Parts: sequence; C-alpha cells; structure tokens
Amino acid sequence: MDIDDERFYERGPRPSDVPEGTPWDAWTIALWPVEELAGLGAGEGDAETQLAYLAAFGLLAPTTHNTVPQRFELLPDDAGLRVWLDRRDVLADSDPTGRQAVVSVGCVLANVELAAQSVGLSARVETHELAGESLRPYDGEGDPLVGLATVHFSSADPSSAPPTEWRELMRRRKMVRAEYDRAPLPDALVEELDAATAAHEGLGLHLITDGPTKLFLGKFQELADATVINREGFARELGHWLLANDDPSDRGMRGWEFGLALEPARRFHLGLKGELSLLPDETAGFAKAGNIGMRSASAVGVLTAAADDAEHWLTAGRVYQRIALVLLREGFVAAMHAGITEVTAPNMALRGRLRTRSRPVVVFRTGRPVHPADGQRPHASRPPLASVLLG
Amino acid sequence: MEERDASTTWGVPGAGLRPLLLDAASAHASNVVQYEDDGTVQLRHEAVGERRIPLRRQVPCIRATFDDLNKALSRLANSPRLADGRSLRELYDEEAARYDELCVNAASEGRFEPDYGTYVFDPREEVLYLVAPKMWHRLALVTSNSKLLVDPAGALSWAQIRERLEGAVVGFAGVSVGGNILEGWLREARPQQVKVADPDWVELTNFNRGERMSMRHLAQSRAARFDPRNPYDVPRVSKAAYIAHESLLVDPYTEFFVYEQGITRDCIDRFLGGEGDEPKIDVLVEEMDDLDLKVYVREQARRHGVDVLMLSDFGHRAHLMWNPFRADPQAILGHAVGDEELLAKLAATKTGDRSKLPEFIEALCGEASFGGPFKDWLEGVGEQPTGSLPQSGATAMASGAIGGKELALHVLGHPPPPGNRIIYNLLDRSAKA
Repeated sequence: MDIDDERFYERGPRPSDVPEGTPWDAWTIALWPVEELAGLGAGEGDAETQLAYLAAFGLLAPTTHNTVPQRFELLPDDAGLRVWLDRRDVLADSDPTGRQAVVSVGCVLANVELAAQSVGLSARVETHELAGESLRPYDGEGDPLVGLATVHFSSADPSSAPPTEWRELMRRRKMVRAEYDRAPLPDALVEELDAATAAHEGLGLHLITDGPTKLFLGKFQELADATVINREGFARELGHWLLANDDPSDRGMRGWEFGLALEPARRFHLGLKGELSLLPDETAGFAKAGNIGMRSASAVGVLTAAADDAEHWLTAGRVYQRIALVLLREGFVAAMHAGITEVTAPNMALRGRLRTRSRPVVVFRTGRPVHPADGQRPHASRPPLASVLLG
Repeated sequence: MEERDASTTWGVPGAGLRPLLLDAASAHASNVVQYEDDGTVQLRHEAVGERRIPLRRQVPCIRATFDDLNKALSRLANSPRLADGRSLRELYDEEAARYDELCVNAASEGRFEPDYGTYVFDPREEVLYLVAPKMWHRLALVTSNSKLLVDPAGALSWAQIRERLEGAVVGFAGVSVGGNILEGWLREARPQQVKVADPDWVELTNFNRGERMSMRHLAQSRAARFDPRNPYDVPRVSKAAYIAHESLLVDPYTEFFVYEQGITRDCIDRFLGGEGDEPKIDVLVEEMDDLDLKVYVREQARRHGVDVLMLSDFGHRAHLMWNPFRADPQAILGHAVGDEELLAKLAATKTGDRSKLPEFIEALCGEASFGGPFKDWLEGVGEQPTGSLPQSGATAMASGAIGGKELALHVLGHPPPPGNRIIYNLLDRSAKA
C-alpha cells in the first residue's frame, strides 16, 4: 500500500510528554482541516489517504498492555475502514478469552468514529458476526486475523451543529497511572457519562465515588495485581510488556508510565521475566500502587455487560474511550485496570459489591494527578501506521 | 443494602456495629423495652425495628458490677475524697443500697428489672446488656489502676487525676498498631471521648497484632452478600468500626468518633480541631501506612498546635517519637532533618527504588531506627515470606502498652523523653533515649 503518511504528522517541537523518536511520532498527528476529508463519503479526494488518516487516530487508542492488536483494512471503494484483531497480539496468560483485546479494538473504533465526526463526517459502525472461540490467543491454527467491525463514512448533514474537536483530545489522552487528588466530578459531567453509556443497550456504568467502595476496589485491584505478579505465566507476560525506560520498542509500557525511575523499571522488567530476583516488597509495592490509585480517584468507573460476549466487549471499549475523552475535555485523566476484570476472584467480588449479575468488563479510575508532574509522564509508544495497515 | 454496609453505618446507633444505649427507666416507661412473662424482651426502636430477645441473649451486668466494686473499693480512711467531701466508698455504699431497694421493689411487683441503669443493645450479636449507670460502670473499669499515675509534682488528688484523664481527647489515625495504643490508653485513662480513623478493613494477617481481633471481624455474615452463593462476595469489616465496637463492649459510655474513611484532606480539620459537638483533640496518635498522609497530618497537626505521638514497631524495636507541636509550633516534621529534606525523601520513595523507603523512614523517625532481623528484611537478606513490612505481634502489643502509658503521662503534665524519642529494643532487652 502506497500511502504517504509523512504528511499526517507535524514536525517541530513536541509537547513535553511526547519523547523524541519514531515510537512517539503517532502523537504528533496533524489536525487536518475539514476540507481535506469532507469528500470521503462522496468519492472525492484520495479516499485511501483519507481512510489511513482516520486509522492513524485509531492507532492512538489505548490497548491492553499497549499490545496494539488492531489492524486496519482500507476500503476506499466503500468509504469504509475495517478493523481487525490480530490474535498474535492477544495476551495468552492474562487475556485467554481475548476479552481485553476486543475491548481495546472497541477503543480503536471509538477513536475512528470520533475522529471522523470531528471533520464533519458521519460514521456508522457495523459489527461483524463474532464467534467467541476465534478471538482467543493465536496458537498457530487457523487465521490469526479476525475482522471485528467496519466503519462506514458518509457526509454529515451540513445543517448539523459544528462538530466537537475530538482529535485534539485523542492526541493528549494517555493512561495516567498516578495518585489523584479526589476532586469530585461535576454533576453535569456524570450525567454526560451516564448518557454516553445508556446509548448502548446491554451496558451499564457504575460510577463509584464513595470512600468505602473505592477502598474495596483498591484492595481488590491490589489482590488482582498481586495474583498476576505471583503467577509465573502472568508475571512473565507482564515482564515482556513492562519495559525499561530506555527500551526502543514501539509497543509495550515503559516503567516511567508508572512513575518508575530508570533502574527500578529495569528491575521490574527483568524481575517479572524471571531474569533477576525481585524482593517480595517490590512486587507488593507495585500492587499497592494500584490500590492507592483507586482510593485517590475522583471516581472509579465500572462498565458492566449484560452478556459476556464479543459484541458487548467491543461496545464497552467504544464507550470507555468516549468517556475517557469526555473526561479529558473536562480536565480529568483516566487509567484502566484490567486485572480486576480478568482475575476471577475480584471480578466476582465486584459483582457482589455492585449488586449486579452483569459482568464487569471495563474498570477505570479517573481524577486529576495530585502531583502535576505525574500528569506529564510520557505517552506510550506506538508502531508506525504502515505496520498496522493490511493489504 | 443496609446489611451490606453494616460496617459503614457508624452514624446510626443500633445499626452495623454501633451499640444502641437506652436509659432503662425511659425504655420501660415507653415500652421500648418490654418483658414478656417468660423473660423474653420485646425491643422496639426505630433504629433496630422490632426484635424479640430471648433469655440467652440478655446479659444483666449491674449486680456483678456492684459486687465487684464492693470487693475492690477501699473502706479505709484513705479512700479518695470527692468534691462534696464524701469518700468514694461512702458514695458507693449509698448507691448500692439504693439499687438493692429498687431491686426489691421491682421483684415485689413481678418486674424483671428496676428502672435503673442502661440497656446496651449490640446489633452485631443481637445481645441486650443491662449495665450500671455511667459513673459506676466506669469506676469499676479504673478501680484497679488505683493511683499509680500521678502528676509530676504529685499534687493532684485521685479525683483530679481522673478528671484530667477522662477529659483528654486523643485521636488515633490508623488502628492496627494504633489499636494497641488505643487499648493501652483506654485501660490507663478510661477517657470520655476518643476518635479513631482508619480507611482499611480487618484482615486475618492483622490478627497477630490487632487488639481484640477475632473471626467475628474477618468478614460480615452471609446475609450481607448480594448473592449468598457467591463465595467471592465477602463484605469486610471496617477497622475503625470494629475497634470502636469492641471498646464499647467494655465501656459503652465512651463517645467514639469513628472515621471509617480514614483521615483525608476533607476531614483532617474536623478530626484535629473538632466541629459542632465533636471536640478538638489534645494529642494525635499517628499510626498510618500511607507515607504521604504521615507527613500531611503532621503538617496539619503543627498548624493546629496538636502534639503527635507515634509508636513504630520496627521488628523487635518499639520506637517512640513525639512531635511537640503544641509547645513548639516551628518544630520539624521529622527527626533531625529539615522539612524540605523530608519532603524530598518522600518524593524519592515513589520512583520504585526500594532503597529510598528506609531513607525516608530514618528522616521521619531518626537514625538507628532499624536493626537486627528488621534491617535484614530491609536489605533483602534471607527468606522473606511477606511483601509488607514485617511486624511482630508482641512488639505491637508492647508498643500499645508503651504508648498508652506515654499518653497518660503526657496528659498529666510529664515532659516528653529527651530528644522526643526512645527506642525500646525487645530483642536486646534495652531502652535508649
């Protein structure tokens, strides 16, 4: 595929939280004017480039462990973008059903939809028929790629209200895994988040703001993290994706995103992989940080799904990402906590605490960093767009 | 929902863990407490609804209280004198005689109990206690302490000492080791009011050091589950509420101010300075795990002029430290390092570098705080079964005793130890100021 994505990105000084180097180029994406994309639904302009540009926003979406499992197929003849899951990037130990990978692709879809809306396009998501088995980590059998959804673009009604500029929020959004300042969420914001969820049947949003329940969630997040770290397979997998700060990889999570200095980040990377011995208090401290983070949140959000299937996972991801961007618009950052949704004990406990029989699929916390410097931790890296385009 | 939140409803007497106190005379007159012919009590109260309490769940304590006081109170001339000139023993004799007479009258009328004392309904166990009036119940709790504690000049009478100890308000932030110190303080002083704050819940791994912890507090009952069959749905019990509950089963007349969400930036001023009917505190006992909060509450205590006591159980060492903010509003937050350095060391603990934790602790608590097996743990030497700081049950208990005594001495006007710090080494069996 011959797409000149060089012109997607801005050159020049970068924001302080976007390190130099190609792994962070994705965060310098330019905000093209509406005119550049207005003709997408009408067959005007270079549809392939226009679609690739929208896919570049899909690349900014959060993914579990920053595995970047999404792949994009450009459908210029149909003004569409098909989003695939590459099962080779589904985490074998911590995500054996592929749930978190599909939630991640849901976040990708949201970014693509909202980026299109930002330039006045209408975006319609068509979810494909999904069989649960086909989403599991790739084991060498069958096709590693699974098409999850296609986004169809068309021109929006010119009389509609000026679009929200979501793209700028996407460029700024990142996971901020820090202690927050417990500032309450404005009522109007809560209502907007509720409405964003209610638009999708089968999903529920529990926004938890009371201290005892946040404590509960903090303790169970700690339990989930401790479980993950103390299980060899989980730990090795986490070690593979939790990288040293100076690692050149264009995927994975660097220690600095968790507030770790150079040497501790290296120790965790090697220690979790089993290449050096971590002391019990080091791993306990790592788990404890999640607990403190939960308790410090302005709110902890739990998205529950009426059915534990791929369609609901995908929708939960779409809703989460929209929520994260709305929160950012209002000055609140967020961090996802997949452990509590994927480890059985805390997940079942959470259902009890929430008084629900629906499965928690996404758990996140939101707030403002109590130490402003924590909000300036670097963005996660991303691979080049070309590497995730199919065809 | 109410049952789920049973440990988080301290504001409602008779719900969760907070006992309901009812004046016996009023309860009888209003039929809030009514005896059936077989002795079963009908308890009707808006907080608890309607309960039938069988005989096996009724514990009348008043006769035992008077019997025990009778044995303990001195008949000799040195029985403490009260404000009206009568001796404590004389007062007791009058009250015991009055109670006897009331009992006789009640029996002659076929009643189970006279209009005397206070009913205490424990909602957790659904037991109805009947206890002696406040003065007599509380007197029995301190009688054995005699007059062992005196002011530095030895000038205060027993009654004056009791007044000082009863009137002091100590706030406990963190009630794991802090619960031991609370126990020491309650046994030594039997104060009228106390504040406890802890956001955590009781865990079985706390039991090696948790005062009065037992299986009763490990989890709430199956009734509190949303789905009784969900084995993972285990509502837990607030540490602050449990310790208040247990303490109130010793002295139901103590007024506990319970902060189940722990100390936060939102409530710190109320905790330290009081608000409305809630008194300010005289001393803060700081026993929290959260390093940020340890520094923050000291900053706020200094602003309020409240002294801070901390007992740190470093392995076999009980490490006592005072921040004398009342006498010295400029006193540093830590020990022997300036505030700026302390804050820098606090920030350094957040980078994941485990060597920064002991550096911060030494800045807060002073040099040579660690030693022996605890130092080995810090340095990663040898086997480590736990990821959290190791804590010896007996050291925690000793810390409670030392802290309780220290608080009582402080309230009676004894100065803090030289340098505001003492290290009791239970392994070497030594103490060093």
